[in-house]
Amino acid sequence: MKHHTARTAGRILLFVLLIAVALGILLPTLLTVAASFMPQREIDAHYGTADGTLALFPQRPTAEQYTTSLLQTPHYLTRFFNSVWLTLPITLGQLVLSSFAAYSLYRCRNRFRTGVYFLYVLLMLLPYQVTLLPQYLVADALGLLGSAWAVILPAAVSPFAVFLLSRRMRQIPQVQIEAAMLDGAGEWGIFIRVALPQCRPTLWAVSMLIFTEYWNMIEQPLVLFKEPETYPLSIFLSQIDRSQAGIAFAVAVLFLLPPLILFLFGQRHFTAGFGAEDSPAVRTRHRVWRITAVACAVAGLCTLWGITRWADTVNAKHTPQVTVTTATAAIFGDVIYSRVLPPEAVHTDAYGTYVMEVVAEKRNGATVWRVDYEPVTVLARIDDGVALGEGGDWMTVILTADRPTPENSYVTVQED
Amino acid sequence: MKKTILWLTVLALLCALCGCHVTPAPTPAGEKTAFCRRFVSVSLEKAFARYFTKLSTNDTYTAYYEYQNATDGTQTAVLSQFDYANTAERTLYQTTFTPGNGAMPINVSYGGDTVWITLFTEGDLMYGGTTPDSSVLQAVNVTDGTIRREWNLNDAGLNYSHTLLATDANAAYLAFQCTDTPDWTYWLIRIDIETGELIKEDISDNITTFPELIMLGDGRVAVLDPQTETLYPIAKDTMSLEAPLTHAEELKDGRFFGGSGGENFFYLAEETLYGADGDPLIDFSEWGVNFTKDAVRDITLQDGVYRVLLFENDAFGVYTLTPCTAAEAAPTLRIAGYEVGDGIHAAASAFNRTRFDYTARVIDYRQYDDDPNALYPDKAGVTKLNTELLAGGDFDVLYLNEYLSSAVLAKQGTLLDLYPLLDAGGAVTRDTFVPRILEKTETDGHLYSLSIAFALNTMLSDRRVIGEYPTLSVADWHALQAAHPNADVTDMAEETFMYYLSDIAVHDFIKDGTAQFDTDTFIAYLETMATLESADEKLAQLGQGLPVADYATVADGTFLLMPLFLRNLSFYQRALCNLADGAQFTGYPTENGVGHVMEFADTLGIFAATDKKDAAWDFLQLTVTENRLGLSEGAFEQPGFPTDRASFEAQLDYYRDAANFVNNIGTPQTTFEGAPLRALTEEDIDRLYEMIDAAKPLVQADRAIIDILEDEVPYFLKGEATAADTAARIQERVQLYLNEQQ
Amino acid sequence: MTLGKRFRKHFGAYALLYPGLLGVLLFFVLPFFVILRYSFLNNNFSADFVGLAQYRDLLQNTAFRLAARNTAWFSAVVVPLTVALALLVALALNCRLPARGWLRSVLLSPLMVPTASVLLVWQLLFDRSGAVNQLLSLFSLPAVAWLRTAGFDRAVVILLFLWKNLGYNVLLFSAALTHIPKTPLEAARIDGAGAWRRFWYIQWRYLTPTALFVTVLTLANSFKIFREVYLLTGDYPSEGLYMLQHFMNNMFRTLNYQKLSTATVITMLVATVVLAVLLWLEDRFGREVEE
Repeated sequence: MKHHTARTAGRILLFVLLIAVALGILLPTLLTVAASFMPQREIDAHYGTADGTLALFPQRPTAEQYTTSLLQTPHYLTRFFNSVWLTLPITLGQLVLSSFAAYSLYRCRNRFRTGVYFLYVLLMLLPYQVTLLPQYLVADALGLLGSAWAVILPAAVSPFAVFLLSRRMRQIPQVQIEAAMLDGAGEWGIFIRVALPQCRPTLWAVSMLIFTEYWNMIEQPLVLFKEPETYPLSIFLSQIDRSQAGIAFAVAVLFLLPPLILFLFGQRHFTAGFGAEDSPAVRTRHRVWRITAVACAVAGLCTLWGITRWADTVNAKHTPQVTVTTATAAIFGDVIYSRVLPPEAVHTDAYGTYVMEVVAEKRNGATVWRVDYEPVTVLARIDDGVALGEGGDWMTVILTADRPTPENSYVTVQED
Repeated sequence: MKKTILWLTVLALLCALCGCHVTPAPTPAGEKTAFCRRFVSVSLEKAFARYFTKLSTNDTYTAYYEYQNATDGTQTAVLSQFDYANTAERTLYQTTFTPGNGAMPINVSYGGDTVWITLFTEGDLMYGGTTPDSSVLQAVNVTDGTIRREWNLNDAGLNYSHTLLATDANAAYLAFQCTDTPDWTYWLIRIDIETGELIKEDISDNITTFPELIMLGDGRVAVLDPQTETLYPIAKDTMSLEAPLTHAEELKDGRFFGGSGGENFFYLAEETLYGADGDPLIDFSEWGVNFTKDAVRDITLQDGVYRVLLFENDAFGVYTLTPCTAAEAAPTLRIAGYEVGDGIHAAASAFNRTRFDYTARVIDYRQYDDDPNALYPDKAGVTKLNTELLAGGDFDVLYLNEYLSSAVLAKQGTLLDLYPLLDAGGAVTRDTFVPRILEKTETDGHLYSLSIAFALNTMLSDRRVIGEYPTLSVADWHALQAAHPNADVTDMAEETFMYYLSDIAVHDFIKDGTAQFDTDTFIAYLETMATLESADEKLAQLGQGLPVADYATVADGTFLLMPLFLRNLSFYQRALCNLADGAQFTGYPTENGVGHVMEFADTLGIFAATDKKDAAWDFLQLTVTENRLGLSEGAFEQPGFPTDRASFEAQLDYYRDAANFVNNIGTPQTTFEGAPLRALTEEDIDRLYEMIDAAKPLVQADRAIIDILEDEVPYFLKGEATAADTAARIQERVQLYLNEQQ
Repeated sequence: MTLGKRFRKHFGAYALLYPGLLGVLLFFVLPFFVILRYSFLNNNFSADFVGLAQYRDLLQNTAFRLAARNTAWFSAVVVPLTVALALLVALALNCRLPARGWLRSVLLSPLMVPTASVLLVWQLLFDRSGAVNQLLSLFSLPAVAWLRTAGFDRAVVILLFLWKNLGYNVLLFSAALTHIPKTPLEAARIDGAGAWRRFWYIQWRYLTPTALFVTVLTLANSFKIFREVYLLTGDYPSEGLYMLQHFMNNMFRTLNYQKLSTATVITMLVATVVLAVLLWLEDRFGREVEE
């Protein structure tokens, strides 16, 4: 009896510990998701200064970061699809090539094979700083620079997956091979009918690892591509500065969805073979997961692709039209205030007083207007205006009493 | 088996689909043939080029300009024809007038030996008189100067500003905006010499803003609405507007030009020329034709030859691009960098206008950043540039700054030693430069870079307040604070002080590859920094009317030191005049030497592996001697003291001459703060040379040191780490950096 | 077997290897020889052959030695730690706890989160007034400047590494655990053997090959921790965190390709030795126990 309680108590403790660990592991991800729903001002307060506090729940949840980054500009979605079109071929290529190689290494037991295997493992340890320049030279010699193949080809032949798969291949019982050979199957037949099915969980695991690793790759496309429009999204996420933090969180959430969906989709294959959980109920649950994952993925991708394809219309629709004004001088009493704005242009919230400045930017040869928050100090409230303190130039400021558009979003300035 | 085939097919399809998407965007303006470039220019003395300028297809261009006759205040308007080689000029029409008094020529057009000109005489209705304004259109025969016909345009309700375009000797069109009614209306007038009639047509339905007139390639005239960027051809017989022509949808902010060579019209957007069907015809920047957007006056195409008429820097110029084989085309001189300064773009432009055996192209790798327009560069382009450099890419000249550091590149043998080139006796030698400037940027007796300009960063004090302080140490700083308890030493922000520290770090805190940050000296600097305010605190104090360190507060002792960026002689003179006898250039606190920091602008080096060494060296020489840092009133905005000795001494002469600082009525000009300006004395100039001698050059070694300081110092300033700890950490990290370099 | 048949058999098997092998030769082996060549030159442009001078200089370079020491220390600590912890967690998960599947999935989640987006959060967690210090203050422990104190900064990096890599290793061990046949375990339990003895004598025998495999994998991954450290502390971290990849990255950044190449060759030589040992061990003890 005591034995049992001790054991149960031990198990409960273990469980609690593991839950704590799991939560700790999930924490950064959860925080990222939470931050993506925060308005810019709140993000500045939490993450802008070094001694901000962590917040798991936004005080005022809003989807404005998503609308700004996805609907107002095609910039991030284009990069997103660049990532997709880059990572998918790499993953497929690696799966194909590495399964070939792993099988081959398994079937040919001689010194050559040992040497090749050793070489593969050794090459796996090479850091990218070292291989980048020579790969650049090779790509240049082959005329691949600027094309996506410059990144896809070296990645597709990377030895990492071979290493993972070859181990699994080695576990295939020899008897099955011989049985297949007796049945008259050639190498290819054995490969398809005996080796591959057994490796399915490993293949899924490999594909997930590969996908994630190359989904996050930065230096290779940076150096080997020529046009910034062809960069994948990982490059943007590696070089964000504080002013873009809001958009960066939303984009980061978008960025982690494909690996997540891939994971959910392939989950049953991972956990297959862990035993004792293969009941019809479990299988149905996995099937539900799979279908949900596929449905979400397809729907999501189509929507995003649609938004990118008809970016102009979508952007135009989501670009609010605003009226702007500039600060003027005014006399009140016997004081001259050099910078006076109408009250509707000056806003105060929990984080301070600010105006929304409109900044001209060049995009694809056209001028677009971007919203910037400018903190201001109020000198006085006079007749029908607010006098601002010194500093800054004449500002083109948005005139509205409504809830302001988020920072870094785009607006159309109403022509007079 | 079938299942296998099925899966393989799916796989193959997926790969193909991916493959279709992995090809990059097609490159624009794919020319198959190359172009050879020529340029001729003519300067007009003090000319104001007005609206009518036209390239003809018989190797001439017509330009209408005005110049001022200073003696009696009149102006002369000239319509002249120049040939491209500028060997001949033919005056077609000329009139002298007094601005504001009598008939003034407003608009001019020229066709088939007839000059069409509108003359405007201001009435006195505005001043209570009875004479209205009058506009008269004249058609003048160029050969004999007779007026063929005149029209009184008042009857047409013409407004002062309008566009005039002559189709030939006998007909012209006029478009204007009528402001008489609350809703402005837009009108088109057709004038025929034969019949003498003047037909008016209201075109407000289609036109939304002040219209322009363009001559299409098929001979029709078209009205352009600049706002919607639409062209409406005018039917020959009636005046009605025909179906509109537009350019390709994605293009915006471009300019239209009349067509030729088979194109109905041209559209110029950002140095690429498009035809009427929206296809890109040529990318001018690829062939070394550089211009600012508004400088282009006309473009023609004839037998494949492009001509571009520009008016820039008070001069007309014609670029001619003739088709030639790739072998004949000028090789490209590639000038690469990250965040390349405007001075280099201007130099490349100047190079391309005089040298036709090479085409200088400036490639700013900022365009390869993920977001080239972001406020803070994300430096993706730097990684790219570095890789291409290492791979032995095709570069010739390199633009050096904090992102592409001359010290780092020199160490790798990436840059050529320039002393042999300077000593080879060309246009530019060591003596071309201000004395001792070259030595400041030497490395082990070799020179790897040349700069166009330099500036001095120092601190100003008033010796009448604080006493004689030709230099300042940290101990002096604290002594001054103690001696003047009611004053602040300075109002510099902490961050500025930190940047200064990183500037002198190489000189003061690194000796023979050993970092010396873990010393009392450096700790003293840190503690001094802590007495200053942060940039955020200063921002918060804006608008509260607190004093700032400027000339006035330094003179009256509110502040003891004022950071001073001596950009050029004008700033130097201003400091001397504002503080009169008290002006003292103390410099930033330092333990050895004087704390002036010398910065350089627009620095260039030659890529060691270039195959165009002579052309690259020519480019460098051109950049240094081009003397864009002239003496004119614009000197105030120029980037710095010129390194070119001739220019420097010419500027000194200008500032020695008291007559330059006196108003027309004989009173002295003043500084911005109100102190009278005076010329520089020899003593002032000697002091300047001393400052240049003593200044510590800003060595753009690497971002490493400033990055480490920017990382560590804020913790100290916030109080989370002691000065000793911070110094120790900085020491550790910088020593790591130094060890790597050994 | 006739010669023809043998040829066909081997041809078939080898043929599958060739495409991948060709790619590896082209994009990895060929570059390695380029690197090797660079290590014998004095700089990329004047291309003077200087023999082993670069190697001699590099081995005497203080920074390189520090980096090598730190990397060796880091790998020596982190790899066993990760493997051991992964094993423990796998064993714990094997104890029929509820929501096992969920826990495993959670453990894998760090793999798919992009580094840059969570680094902001990590910095905040370990800041002076961050969550971890707040947790410590709950237990009346003094706050620590995590990333700025020698020793603790290494702890943070190790934690970061564990966070990222535990998941997959646990997965591998879990898979291996479920493949252990039940009968010997049952028999041992009936015989009265304690948990420890059951583990050491039975489970560990089956787990050895997996453990070796996981070790090699973790070793490879321990090099990849660079990116996280770089994003946390920049190009020049404190002495405790300065590793070979920092050295290499800085050499790349300052265009010192000679030092970079030389360092690579030396690292490869060392790695070859280490790997040879590990693979020999795997060969020796790694035979699948099939009885």
